[in-house]
Amino acid sequence: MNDDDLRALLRDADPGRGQQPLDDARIRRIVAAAERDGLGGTGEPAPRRRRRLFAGASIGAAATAAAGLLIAGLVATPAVQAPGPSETSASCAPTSVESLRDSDTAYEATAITVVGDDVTLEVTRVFAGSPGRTLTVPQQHDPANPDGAGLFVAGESYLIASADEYISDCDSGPATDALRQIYARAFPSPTTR
Amino acid sequence: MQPFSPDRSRAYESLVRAHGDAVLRFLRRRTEPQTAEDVFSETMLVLWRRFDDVPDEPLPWLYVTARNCLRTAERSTRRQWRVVEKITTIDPPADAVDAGPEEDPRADCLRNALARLSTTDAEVLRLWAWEELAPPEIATVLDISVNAATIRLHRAKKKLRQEMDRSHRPTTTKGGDR
Repeated sequence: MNDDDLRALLRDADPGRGQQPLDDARIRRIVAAAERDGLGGTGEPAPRRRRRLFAGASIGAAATAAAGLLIAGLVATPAVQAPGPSETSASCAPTSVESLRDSDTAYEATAITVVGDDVTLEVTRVFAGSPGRTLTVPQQHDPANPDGAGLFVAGESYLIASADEYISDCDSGPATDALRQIYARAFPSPTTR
Repeated sequence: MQPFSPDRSRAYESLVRAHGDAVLRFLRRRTEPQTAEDVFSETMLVLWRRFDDVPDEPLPWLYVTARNCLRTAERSTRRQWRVVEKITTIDPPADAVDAGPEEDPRADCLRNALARLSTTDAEVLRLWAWEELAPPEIATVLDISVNAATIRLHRAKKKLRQEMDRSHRPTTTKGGDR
């Protein structure tokens, strides 16, 4: 089989074959998103939640349901630096009261144990929703961390926001005073446990 | 954040019209459809933000950008897969697709052979056959020398042919026929 045959055979197996070309409307949306970005906007229409959220689990009374958490600000830098997203936290806009209000569940939790890959979080304050008292989540390893340390550290606190069982990696992170104040403004009546 | 100007916007739109399809196809060949769409949007934003860095021949640069954006997205996805108990099933990207009833009889053999290649060999073949890149462009995308790209492509083709031959080879059983 010569090169031409091989290439033709590979092309027959191309999963991108038959893709519909981008239509005018899509191109206009892309350009508009870029222009909004240039004016300080946030990119294509409503990508934030879809792109920056990832699935959590049944965060409820079961207490041991798995949940995901990607800590904004502790996220690994891209493996290949350029070209690519220029900011460490990719396209996250700063956490705001408005973005948090998209969440149906928001709480502060402390990592009480880190055993191997299992991290147990104890919910200490509920800003919104019913997250339950305790959650067990797997440790999140940061591939950029040379010593292999995980993101969760026992004794440290984290603020976590989720919607429809998806935890926002943009709006969740280590419980700093600044982030806590934004949570408190978004959800003015927290309950402490 | 890049400043908006009508000229810049028009030039950007031209680039999107010229190369957007190729970038989206590149992503759809390497990940499931929803991720491809998300990463495509991200890639287009990076294109806007780094418009001044885009070389005269933009496609390899765009592929590198798309691949970097995809890696970032996949890192999140890998975390997601590790941590979730309940997750929506995502259709995995097809390594290769059936061509239908008119399919070349060697196609099945090729798909199996392609799946057995290393990630590096498979990628260089994809760039050559699907993205239709020549070794200098492959070199740019893989960030290797043109010479290395040429050698890598040659070896990948050879391995693919060997794998296809192997899958055609009849299997033997211990003791042979009675």
